[in-house]
Amino acid sequence: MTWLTWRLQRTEFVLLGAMLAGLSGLLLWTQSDVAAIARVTECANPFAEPRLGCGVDPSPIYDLVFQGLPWFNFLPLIAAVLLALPLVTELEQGTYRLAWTQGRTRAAWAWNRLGLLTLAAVGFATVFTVAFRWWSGPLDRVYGRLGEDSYDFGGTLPLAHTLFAVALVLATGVVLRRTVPAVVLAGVAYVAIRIPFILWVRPRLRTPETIVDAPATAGGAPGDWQLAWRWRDAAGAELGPDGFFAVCGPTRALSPEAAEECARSHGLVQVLTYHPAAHYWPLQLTETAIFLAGAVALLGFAGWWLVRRVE
Amino acid sequence: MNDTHQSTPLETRDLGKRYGRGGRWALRGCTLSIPPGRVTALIGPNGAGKSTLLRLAAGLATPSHGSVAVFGADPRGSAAVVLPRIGFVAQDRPLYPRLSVAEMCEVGVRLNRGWDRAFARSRLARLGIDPGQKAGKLSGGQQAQVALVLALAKHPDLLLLDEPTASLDPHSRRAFLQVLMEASATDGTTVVLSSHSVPDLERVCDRLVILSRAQVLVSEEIEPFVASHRLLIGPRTAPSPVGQSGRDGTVVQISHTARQTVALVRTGGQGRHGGDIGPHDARWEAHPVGFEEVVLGYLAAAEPERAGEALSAERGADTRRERIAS
Amino acid sequence: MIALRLDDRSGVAAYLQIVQQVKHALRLGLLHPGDQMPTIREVVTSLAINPNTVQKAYRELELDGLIGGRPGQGTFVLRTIPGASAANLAEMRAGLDRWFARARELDLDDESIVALFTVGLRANPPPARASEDEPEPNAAQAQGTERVA
Repeated sequence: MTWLTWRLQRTEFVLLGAMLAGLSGLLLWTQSDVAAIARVTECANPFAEPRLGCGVDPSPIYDLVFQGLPWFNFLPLIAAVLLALPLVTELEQGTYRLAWTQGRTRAAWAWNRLGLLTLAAVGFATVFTVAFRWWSGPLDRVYGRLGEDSYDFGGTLPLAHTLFAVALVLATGVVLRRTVPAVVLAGVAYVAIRIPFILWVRPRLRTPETIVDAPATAGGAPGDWQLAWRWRDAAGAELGPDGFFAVCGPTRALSPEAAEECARSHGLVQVLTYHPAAHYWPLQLTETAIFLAGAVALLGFAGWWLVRRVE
Repeated sequence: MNDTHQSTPLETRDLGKRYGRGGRWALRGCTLSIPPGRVTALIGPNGAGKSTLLRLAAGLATPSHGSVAVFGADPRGSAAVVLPRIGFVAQDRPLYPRLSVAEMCEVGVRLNRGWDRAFARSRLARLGIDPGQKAGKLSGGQQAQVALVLALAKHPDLLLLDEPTASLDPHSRRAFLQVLMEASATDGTTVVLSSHSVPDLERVCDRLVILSRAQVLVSEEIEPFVASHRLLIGPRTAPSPVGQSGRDGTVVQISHTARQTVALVRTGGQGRHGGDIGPHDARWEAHPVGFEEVVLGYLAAAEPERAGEALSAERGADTRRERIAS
Repeated sequence: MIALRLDDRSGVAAYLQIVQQVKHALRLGLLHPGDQMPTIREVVTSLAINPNTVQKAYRELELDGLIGGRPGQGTFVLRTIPGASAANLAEMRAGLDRWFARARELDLDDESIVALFTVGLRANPPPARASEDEPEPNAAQAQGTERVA
C-alpha cells in the first residue's frame, strides 16, 4: 500500500520537492546578502528594515525574497494542498472504490495513507525550517527571533502550521469530496484562523513583561518583541504614545537629555509591555501545541469520516 | 446466522438503504438469496437500487435497515474476511487513470494475498492489451476488460459487476461476456451483474432479479420464470383473462387499445411448455413471450411512466395501465 | 469439431438450439461416432453463454445416448441418429422433390407450403421415447397462435 500511495502521489511529492529545492536555491543565493546586512548593525535603527542599513546594497533577489517573506506563511497551505489533493481526487472520481474492494480493509488503507501524508508533511516542514534557520541565522543574532520576519518560520511553528494545514485540507476534502471547493474552503479557513491568531492570541500566550520608567529613547533590547508602549502620568492615567508630545512637544525638537528632563519634571513615566527574547521558546511551544492539537483533531475526524461515513 | 449460510454467496434480509435522514430510500425491503455458482442478472431502470445493492454487498455502504451477508459474514464489519473472497467492478472509473495496465496489476498483487499475476498477464495478452498503456487512455471496452481481468485474478468466490457493459459497443460487450463466462465455467464463480442491456443477460444469466423503485419485484430462475408467462390478446370487451378465482394465474401488466386488450399473464404454476395455460375464455389468444418482453412487462407495471414500449400491438392508442392482483 | 452458434431472436431456448445443432450435424454426417465434442468451457467462451445452459444441452444429448464422456479425456460422439443413412436421405429427398413439383403445379406459394408442412409435422409426431419430460419446442416455434380450449 505504501507503493500505491507513492505511485498515486508521485507527481505531487516531486512538485513539493521541487518547491523546496527552489526555495533553498533562493535562500542559498541570497545568503551573502544576509551576512552583509547583519554585519552592519551599528548604523541602523534596530527596528527599521535592515535594508536601510548604511553602506549595504543587497541584490534585487534579496529584496524579492525579503518582500516575499510574509508570503512564506502560505507555504504550509501549498504543501498541504499538494499532499492532500490526490486523496480528495480519489474520493471525487470514485477510484477509492477500487482500493477498498481489494484485500485490505479501508481502515488499513486510511491509516497507511494518512500516516504517509503526515510523515511527508513533517519532512517538508523540517527541511524548510532548517534551511530558513541557516539563512536567517546572522540576522537573528542581531535582531532576535521574535521579529515577524522570522518567528513563523523558525522553531517548531512551520511543523505545526503545515500539519494543521494538511489536516484542514483533508477534513474538508473527505466531507466535500470535491477538490476545488475543499481547497478553497480549507484555504479560507487557514487564513481566517491564522491571522486573528497572530494578532490577538499570540501576544497573550504568555504574560508579557512590563518595565516602568524605561529610558526615554530605548524601548527594550533589540531581540524583544514590543507589544505596547505607553506614557503614564503622575496620577497613573495612561496617555498613549502621543501623551508625551502633548506635554513636551515633538521629540525631534528636543535632545535626549531635554526630553528626559521634561518627562521627569511632569512626572511622566514610560510603561513598556513586551516579550523578552527568553519568551521565544515558551511562545513557540504553546502555539505549536495548540496547532498540533487542532491538527490531531482534524486528522482524527478525517480518518473517522473516511472509515465510517464515506460510501 | 446459522452455518449453512456460510455457503450462500449473498443473502439479504429486509435490506434497506437511504441516504441522509429523511432522504429517499435507494433500496427497501430487499430480501433475496443468491445460490452459489449461478449467474444472476440485476435488471432495473436507473435509480432502481441496483448499484446500491451491489455496494452494500461489497461493503462499500452500510445498511440503513435489515442486513446483508456475504458467505454468512457482514461485508463491512468483517471486511478482512469477506474482501478476499469477492471481486467488485465499479460502474465508472474502475481503474486508476494515471496508472499503466502493468501498474494496475501491481496494485492487485500488493493489495491482495494470492493474486494470480500469471492469469492476469495471459488474459491481457490474449485480449491484445498493451501493459504499458495508461489505463485512462484505453478504450471503454478495453477498460472494462482490464477491470474484469483484475477482479478475476483474485479468483473470487463472488463477483459483483455494476453495469460493466453499459457503454460498450456490441463487439466489446461480447468479448467481455466471453471472458466472464469462461471464468464462470472454470471456477464456478457466483456472478451478480447489473445491466440495462436485456438481450445479453438472457444468454449469460440463469437467475433474474428485477428491481424497480428500490423494491425487488422478481427473484427467480430465468427459464422456468419466462416459460410460465403468456401474452394474452383479446377483445376489449372481454372480461379479465384470469377470472375471479386466481387459480389460473396473475395478470402482470395489462394495456388496452381501442379494440383490444393485451395482458401479460403469469400462469398459475401449470403450463410450462404450452398446452394448458390457464384462462378458459375462447376469445383470448395466447402467445409465448420472450425474456425481454416479460422483463419490460414487469417494469412497465411498476413504473408506467417509464415504460419503454407498450405491450399492445398498436402504438399510439390510448392505454390504461392496471395491475390486477388475483 | 463442430461450430455452434446461437440465434437470440429465434425464440428457441438456448440449450435446445445447441441440442438441435448437434443432432443436425449428426444427421448430415458432419459428426461421426468417435469425434470429440468441444468442452463446455470452449462452448461457453466462444458463444458467451451460461455454462449451465451448455451443461443442460450436453446432459440432454447424453440421455439420448448420442454423446458420452470418457473421464479425463473429454466428451465424444457415441452414435449417429438412426435412420439417417445416405441412402435413406436420398430417398426422402427424391420424394420431396416430387412433392414440391406437384405443389408448384397447383400454384401453391411458399407460405402455403410451409403451413401445410407445419400441420403435417404436428399431425405426425415421432413415436414415444424412453426419456420423460421431453420438452416440446413447438410451443415456442409456433407460427400461429394457440386457441384456448
